[in-house]
Amino acid sequence: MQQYDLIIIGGGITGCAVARELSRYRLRVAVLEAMPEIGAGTTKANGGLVHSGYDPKPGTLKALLNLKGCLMYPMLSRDLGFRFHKTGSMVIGFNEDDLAYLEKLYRQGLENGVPNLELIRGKRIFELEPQTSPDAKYALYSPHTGMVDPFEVAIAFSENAAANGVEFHLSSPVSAIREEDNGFVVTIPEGELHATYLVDAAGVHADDVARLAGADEFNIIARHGDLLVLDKHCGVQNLMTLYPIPSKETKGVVVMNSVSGNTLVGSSAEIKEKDDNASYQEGIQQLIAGAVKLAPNLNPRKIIRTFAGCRAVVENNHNDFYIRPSKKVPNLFYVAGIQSPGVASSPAIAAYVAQMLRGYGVPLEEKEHYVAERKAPVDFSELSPTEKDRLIQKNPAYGKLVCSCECVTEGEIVDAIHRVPGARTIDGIKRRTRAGMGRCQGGFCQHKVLFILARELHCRPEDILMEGKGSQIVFSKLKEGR
Amino acid sequence: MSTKEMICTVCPNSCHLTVEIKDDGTAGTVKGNRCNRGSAFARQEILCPQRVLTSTVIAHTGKGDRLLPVRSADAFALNLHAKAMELLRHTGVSAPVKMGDVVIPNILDSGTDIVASCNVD
Amino acid sequence: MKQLSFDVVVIGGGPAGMAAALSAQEQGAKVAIVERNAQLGGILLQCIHSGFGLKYFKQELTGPEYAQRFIDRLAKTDVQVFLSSAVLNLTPDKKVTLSNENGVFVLDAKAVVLAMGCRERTRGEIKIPGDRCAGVLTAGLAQHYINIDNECPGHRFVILGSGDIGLIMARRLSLEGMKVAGVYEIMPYPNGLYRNIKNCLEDFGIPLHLSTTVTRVIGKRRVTAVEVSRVDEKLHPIPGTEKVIPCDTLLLSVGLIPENELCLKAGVKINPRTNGALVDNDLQTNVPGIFSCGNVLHVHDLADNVTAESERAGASAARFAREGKLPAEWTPITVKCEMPMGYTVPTCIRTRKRAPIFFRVRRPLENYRIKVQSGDDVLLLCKPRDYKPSIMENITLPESILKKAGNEITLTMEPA
Repeated sequence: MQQYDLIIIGGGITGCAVARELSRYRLRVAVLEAMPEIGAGTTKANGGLVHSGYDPKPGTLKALLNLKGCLMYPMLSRDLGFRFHKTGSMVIGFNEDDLAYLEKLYRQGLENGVPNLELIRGKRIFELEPQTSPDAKYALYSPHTGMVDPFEVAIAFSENAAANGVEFHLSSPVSAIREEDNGFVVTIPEGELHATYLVDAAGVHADDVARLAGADEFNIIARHGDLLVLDKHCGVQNLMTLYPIPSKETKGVVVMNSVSGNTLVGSSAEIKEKDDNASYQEGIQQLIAGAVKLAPNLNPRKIIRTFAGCRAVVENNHNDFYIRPSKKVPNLFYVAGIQSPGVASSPAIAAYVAQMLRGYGVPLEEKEHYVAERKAPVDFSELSPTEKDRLIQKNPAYGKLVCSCECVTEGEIVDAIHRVPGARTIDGIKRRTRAGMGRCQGGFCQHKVLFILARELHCRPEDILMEGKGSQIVFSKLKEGR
Repeated sequence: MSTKEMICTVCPNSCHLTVEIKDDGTAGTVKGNRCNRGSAFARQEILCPQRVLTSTVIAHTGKGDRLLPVRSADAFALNLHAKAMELLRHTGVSAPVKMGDVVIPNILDSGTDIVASCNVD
Repeated sequence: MKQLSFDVVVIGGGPAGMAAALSAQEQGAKVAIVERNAQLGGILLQCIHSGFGLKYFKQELTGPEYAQRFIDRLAKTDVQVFLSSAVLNLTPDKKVTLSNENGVFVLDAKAVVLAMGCRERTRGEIKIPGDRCAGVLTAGLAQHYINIDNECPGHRFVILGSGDIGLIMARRLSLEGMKVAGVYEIMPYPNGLYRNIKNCLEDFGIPLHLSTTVTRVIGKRRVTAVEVSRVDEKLHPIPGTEKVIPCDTLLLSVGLIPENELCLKAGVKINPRTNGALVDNDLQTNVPGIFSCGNVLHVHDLADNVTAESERAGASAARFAREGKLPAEWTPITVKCEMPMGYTVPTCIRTRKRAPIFFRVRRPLENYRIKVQSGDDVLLLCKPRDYKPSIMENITLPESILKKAGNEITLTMEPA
């Protein structure tokens, strides 16, 4: 039986952030992820907004960790080589009622300690973002709001954690947990693993994991949200993040510019079943209407993809994060209910969890040779022609373009597969390299990616999945001529 | 005597044809065709529909197997196509192949050959 | 990084690019073709069905046969072909940057022909709600899996869209032993050629459901069913008409869009009606010396028309390379069109010689005629007949009419 000091269940952005934080210390740590890829749950279905922290209710864990996390991002992005764009944001008000709300939000922001918040009106709004609706009158401007690619961040955390010795078990749903020998025995398909401590970061399934461990302490409900991705040319470009005044029905439709240059619109909020990643017509319509209200030049015909996901909300927890040791089972810790602003908070959550573990008595001794930095993979499209040429001379695989829409080469795809933890699926490749994420949505390159995966992983094309178990793309050979 | 409506598929003009069906089941006069090929098509269609069949077969090349697109040189009885497909599924050829090379001569005694649609080195 | 010079650089080695290159080469130009795949032929290579060449070769050929004829002709010329090469950039001064396994190359061209073809509309663009599982793919991707990769992409299919690609795929799937539950078309009329409805659906007993669309995808990991609904005249789904059709694959054949990213980089202006470049009757874009032809200009229904158009573009490009400009007489004539005519190519006529104008209608028209006007003067009224949106039409305006036109002509369709 493999022995660990600590097992993290859940390889989303939260679990990976915690893994990376704990990899500083002399602990044997493993991350168990049910899906074949890192960040394949709530993390992937997220807009990537790094909120600045005026929104959470003062005094909550959310308020504390959001602000702290947001301010950690600029440095973290340099250390871990992921893209962070400090875009700034405005909450847009159209009338006097809205102004009253903005004033309240402004005071709340001050109370939370958010720096550099400004209440602005008139011309200043359009100086900051000329593409804002001309009807806008007032705005709460927050310069620290940023954008990341949430799975890029999760992957960066995971790779840095792996470089520091954390072991990742992918395609490893936990089927049983029992207490034994002063710790836990966790059953996954490849066998049993033993750990002294368990961290439950299983997203919408954190309550199910807790129950497996014999602790029925909380319930999670899934708050579903639709998101829209638009073409890079969609009428608006490089938009500063624009928030509306939330109405009673929705938390508000936000328009933002992804770090890759696509305009994103998100997100609706409806309670649905866990794992419901379906897009809903009503949600999509709501998003289009909301987006056009904030940025009227946005052309809804340029939508290239709709997607959706579920935020994990712990019931009767006042919409706050649920980060604490179990009251029922010793050595079990919850990092649950990480709803919005989970991405923004994740680095701070990780630090908070380390502090909690230390407080509990988990021995955290710093490693001698901790690697704090991670080198980002090559982004061929961002290189100058001379750099491209040099790279191809070194490795001709970078001269084979696989995805024309996003300019992704075979070299980048092969690298994504062989990194640790590496990509295993079509969607994993897509999220790491952007191959298939452009206008044609894989129409021209999915088959190429499929065959590269099969070749590099030494398996048959029918073994390659889109993402989860049972999501195979092709089934068998058609012709058997001899 | 009855009539049958059909659309000519000889060319993209897609003429709307009205065909008289004689008591013996054969075609009588054909109306609506813009060229002679239309009436010939209608007669054949009543007698026994004929189509060009296109598919692929395995081609063994120096760099491994690939698919070679093939076609029937001419149209042949539609009701033989399923059987022909079964034959093609298990047919393999060795490269090099040139466009027009016969892959299966006189397939199912239909009088037409299955030929290669392109070159494979 | 290597630099090379050419008279004409053709981007794209499909039917458009090959025809343009051959035609430019025949005019004496030093020509290069840049093709992203390992072979010339473009999408023709996966269109293994017959139906090509009836106009151009007066003979019914398959896609690969049609391509092979041009590949063979090119092999006999000194046209330089860059295979497996991706164009990374195109500048307004006609420098084409490409990369392949040998490195990055800059081709300095006197004239450039854009012939990149088109792409398929996707699920995202038509916003089909529902689960995001495997098993939703465009018809062209399925065609690649089946005809090129020898892979079976599903067992039981629902096809959305009755365009020719969807119909052709229905037949391919049936022949290869897969089941097609039905073809669904949101419009009240089929979008493909009648011959394809007969040969691809009727021959195989595949039902075609008009005024019906897919309203939901169902399946956690792989599609297990789709929900279809009837639509009203405004194409909105009618509540209560939902039906669940079990299948493991949804094939989308819901339209093609010119692939024009490079145009934007070079400053080429796009016609929002076609998503292709705005061109004059020499197929020249607003950037002097950059030409466009084939499906990147406007989506064609016949490869033969692509070839004919691209030969004109290639000849124009060669002439531009030779003379540094193209002849323009008097003032150019702006070509406008009004509904139900959807668009025209070209949108500008620079020489008052015989000029073919290509167009499509937006809805089926029975017994309509083309009217050409300049101001209030009616210059031409054609013989009435039926028109379909699925068929690209053309009208050639003779010199005599162009001479009478002012600075602008308007084409419309009117009932006879």
